[in-house]
Amino acid sequence: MNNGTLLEVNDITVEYVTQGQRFAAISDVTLDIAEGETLGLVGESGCGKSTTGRAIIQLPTPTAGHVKFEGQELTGLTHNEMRQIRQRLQIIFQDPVSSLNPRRRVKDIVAEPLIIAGNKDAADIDRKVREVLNAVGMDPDITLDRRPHQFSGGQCQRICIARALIMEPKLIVCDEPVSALDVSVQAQILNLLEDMKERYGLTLLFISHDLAVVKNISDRVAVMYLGKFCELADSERIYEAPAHPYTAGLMATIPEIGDKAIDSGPALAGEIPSPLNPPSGCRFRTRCPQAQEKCTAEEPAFRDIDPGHQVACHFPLLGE
Amino acid sequence: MADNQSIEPPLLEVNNLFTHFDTPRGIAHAVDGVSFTLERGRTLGIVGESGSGKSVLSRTIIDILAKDGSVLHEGEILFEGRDLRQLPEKEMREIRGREIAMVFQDPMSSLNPVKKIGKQITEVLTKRLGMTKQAAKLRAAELIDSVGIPDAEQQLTRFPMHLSGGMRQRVAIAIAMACEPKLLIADEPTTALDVTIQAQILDLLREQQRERDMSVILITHNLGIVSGYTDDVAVMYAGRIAERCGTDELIAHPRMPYTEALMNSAPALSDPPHTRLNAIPGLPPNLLNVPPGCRFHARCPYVQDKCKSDMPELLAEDNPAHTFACWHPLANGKANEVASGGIQ
Amino acid sequence: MQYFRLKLLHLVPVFFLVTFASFMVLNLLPGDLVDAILLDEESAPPTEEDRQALAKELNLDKPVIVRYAIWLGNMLTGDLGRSYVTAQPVTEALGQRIPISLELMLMAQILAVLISVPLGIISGYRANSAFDRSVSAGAFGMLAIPVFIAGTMLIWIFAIILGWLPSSGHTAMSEGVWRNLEKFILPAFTIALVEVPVLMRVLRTDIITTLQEDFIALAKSKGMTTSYILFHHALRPSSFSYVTLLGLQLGNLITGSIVVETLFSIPGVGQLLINSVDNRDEIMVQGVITFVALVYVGVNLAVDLMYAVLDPRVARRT
Repeated sequence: MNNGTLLEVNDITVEYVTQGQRFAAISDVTLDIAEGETLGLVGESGCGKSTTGRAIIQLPTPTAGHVKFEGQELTGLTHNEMRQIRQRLQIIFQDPVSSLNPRRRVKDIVAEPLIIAGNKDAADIDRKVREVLNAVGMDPDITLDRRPHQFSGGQCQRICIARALIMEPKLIVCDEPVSALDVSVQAQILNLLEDMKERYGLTLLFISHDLAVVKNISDRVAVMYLGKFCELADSERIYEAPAHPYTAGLMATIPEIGDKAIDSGPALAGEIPSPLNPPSGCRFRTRCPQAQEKCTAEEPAFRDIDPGHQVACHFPLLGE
Repeated sequence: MADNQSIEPPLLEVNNLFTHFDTPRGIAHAVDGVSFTLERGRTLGIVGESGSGKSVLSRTIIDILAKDGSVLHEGEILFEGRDLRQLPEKEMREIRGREIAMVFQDPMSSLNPVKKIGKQITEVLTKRLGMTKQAAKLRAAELIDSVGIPDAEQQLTRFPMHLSGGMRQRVAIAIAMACEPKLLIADEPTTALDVTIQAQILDLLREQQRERDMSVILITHNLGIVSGYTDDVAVMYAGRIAERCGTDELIAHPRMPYTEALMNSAPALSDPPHTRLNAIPGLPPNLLNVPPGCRFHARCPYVQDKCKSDMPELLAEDNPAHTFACWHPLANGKANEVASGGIQ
Repeated sequence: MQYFRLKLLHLVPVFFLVTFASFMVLNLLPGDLVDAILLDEESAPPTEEDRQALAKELNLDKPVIVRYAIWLGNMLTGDLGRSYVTAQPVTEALGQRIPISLELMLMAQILAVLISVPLGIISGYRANSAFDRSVSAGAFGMLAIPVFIAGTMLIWIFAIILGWLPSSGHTAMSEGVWRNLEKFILPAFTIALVEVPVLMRVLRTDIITTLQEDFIALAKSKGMTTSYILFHHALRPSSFSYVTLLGLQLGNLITGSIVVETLFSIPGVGQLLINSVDNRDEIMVQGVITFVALVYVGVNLAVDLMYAVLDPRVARRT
């Protein structure tokens, strides 16, 4: 492991074919996550944030680019080799209810990764299942023999987290894990993720459309728009001094308690263009209040404007 | 008319309304004794989590729940002084769409996928207002234009699938505006949309409301939206209103512990990263089996014995416009003294 | 349109496969065809020369694959051969029978739609009501009754007891429209009775699903009347399985109407098929099968076309 970097993603592109047309769901995405860090990935629908998360765990393998996990290249691995890696690289999804098999008991669901990994020691499995269920705040004695439909959405998400934790993974990709939950339950799960991170020494890639949630849980935040990164910086910094007009506009539109008459302003007027046919040059230019000719002609590079602060904009907003 | 205004009844007055569902597993108390009034031209936010009864309440008011005997109602819904629950179906149909219109949560499913957008608007105009087809088409184009959709006339011949989610919600708003209703019920109108589009739709709703001097009930789970877009607010919990007052008053001085907890549990942009969130422990009660006493007592940090046995009524204390259902309300303006630790 | 051209392209091989398979199967029938034909016509046993001459004339001396190729070549020019038994051209025989069968099918199908659509919609709207339950019970009862029993009962009630309608036979359209139609009513109704229960159940299920949709709630909140909502908002999005089934049944009818045509003595395609099989008139049987295959292909195409009419999203999903 070089400098504690757990995951290195270099220039990955994922292409799909729809309606006989090839299009890139994400292009040239580059990021790295240090051990113990939480990287937030935020953006609106169609921005490719979930595709990025899945490309990292090779579902599917990116069309181009490299993914290195613990120094090992993942893109060329066989199915079997990848299965070994997945023990240390887990994912949890947005809809906890549909990601649990309704016909199986909780103990079988949570134990499944262990059994797939070849653990045959029933006592050991039972001990581990109880331990993770306790860790996520579910009483094993009550939970073990029940089935998912007997639990609420928040409880199902706890079970999903338990299932992900049982292999003691290094990295968990969290794909909108709290979007389907009510606010009060959402807070429980976010707190739980922080606790688990501490307890199991986890590294997280946290994907969400909700900026407030992402800021709360992340050390660094990447903002995506139409399949590309616009900005990447420290969590605090990106909220204090957003450099990309999209990031700034996105933050201005979040309704916050105590705000009066949110002014969405001209910044983010208009619609999100189709990812099938993105605008030339800068992809955000059709909605950008600062757009100039250069933005149409030339695609801005994703570059450092300060150490640790990258932005893809010809005319970044500079601190106020 | 001006002289009469003082004695004119409020636009909407709901009195002790119940909506129960007869399910195979028992009676679900979805709306359980709700009362509130809404004045003309005001926007009332109804805020609550899933299962709070806020959507069922709105569907009860406009009377579109199933009529096969599985839905049980009680109470009064006075619209301009007339009890909607007593109206025969034919007269109630006159109210729907013309006097009270509704916008639904998911514009992907609330427009008929096999009907042209134009038809979905004109059918209201021809069937309800008796317009000719020709006149209805012109009016539909005007409506589409007024909700900010470009190339209005061409849109009439398109199907919903050709439009984005935001555009579809604009169409749904145009449909709701077709008969110039006095009351618009918007049920989570932006929950299915992206943040940047959400702001556009909320702005559009407010603009329509001001132009037409319409009253709006805005149902949402998001206190941020309530804060920015409503005059008054009712907080619902497990089928009942927990607190009701002016929006600014609620944000500044919540009295019901549930309101406070709801406000504190959402992460704020202004908080530094890794701020511990004030999650509300436990789960909302099962509506098939509601607990005695205050419905929030099992999750309330300030719970006392009385809360577990006696149900608090929605009452005012010093400010008659601020009602709340709590035996041990938060002190006006500061945290409750009763509990030592506060919400953990 | 791309979509339909593609569909058509898929269906052409299906058509050839069906005609080829039937040709092969007919060829496998036991016994010698030449014998069968000659023994029927002459009282004296045929000489070997006669046999060879006939075999040559009918190309029976050639391998089956070659005969199929010859038949196919002729078919593509519109010549389906002549009956081995009556020497009537196959196309002519079909030409006489097809309009009769089509009229029967059409009437049966119209009746089935007229009965099943309202029943399906109302049972779906009033699901689990007394009405729905009695309709369902009736439907399951109907399913259990074989066609010939249902037909016989109808004849007994309407032709014999009440005397309202003729019990059998066929009168050409030229002798009066009503006289033609009245003979079709009972057989068409018999066929419809068999179809209605299935059609109705399928529509009922889909209506129930559609009525849960938000766009129905929106239509209600617009103040539309219940019947307008059912017929103008709910019916079309609920009719996919219904139309598919209707198409499948139309295909089945061509052969399925054999029983009904026999029962009511209607000289349609079904009767032609039965007689030809009896007489080992293989070329005629092959002609009928070709026609049936054509109808199947046509119906399939029509159903696909209907999907696009019913739902604009289909046309886009090419």
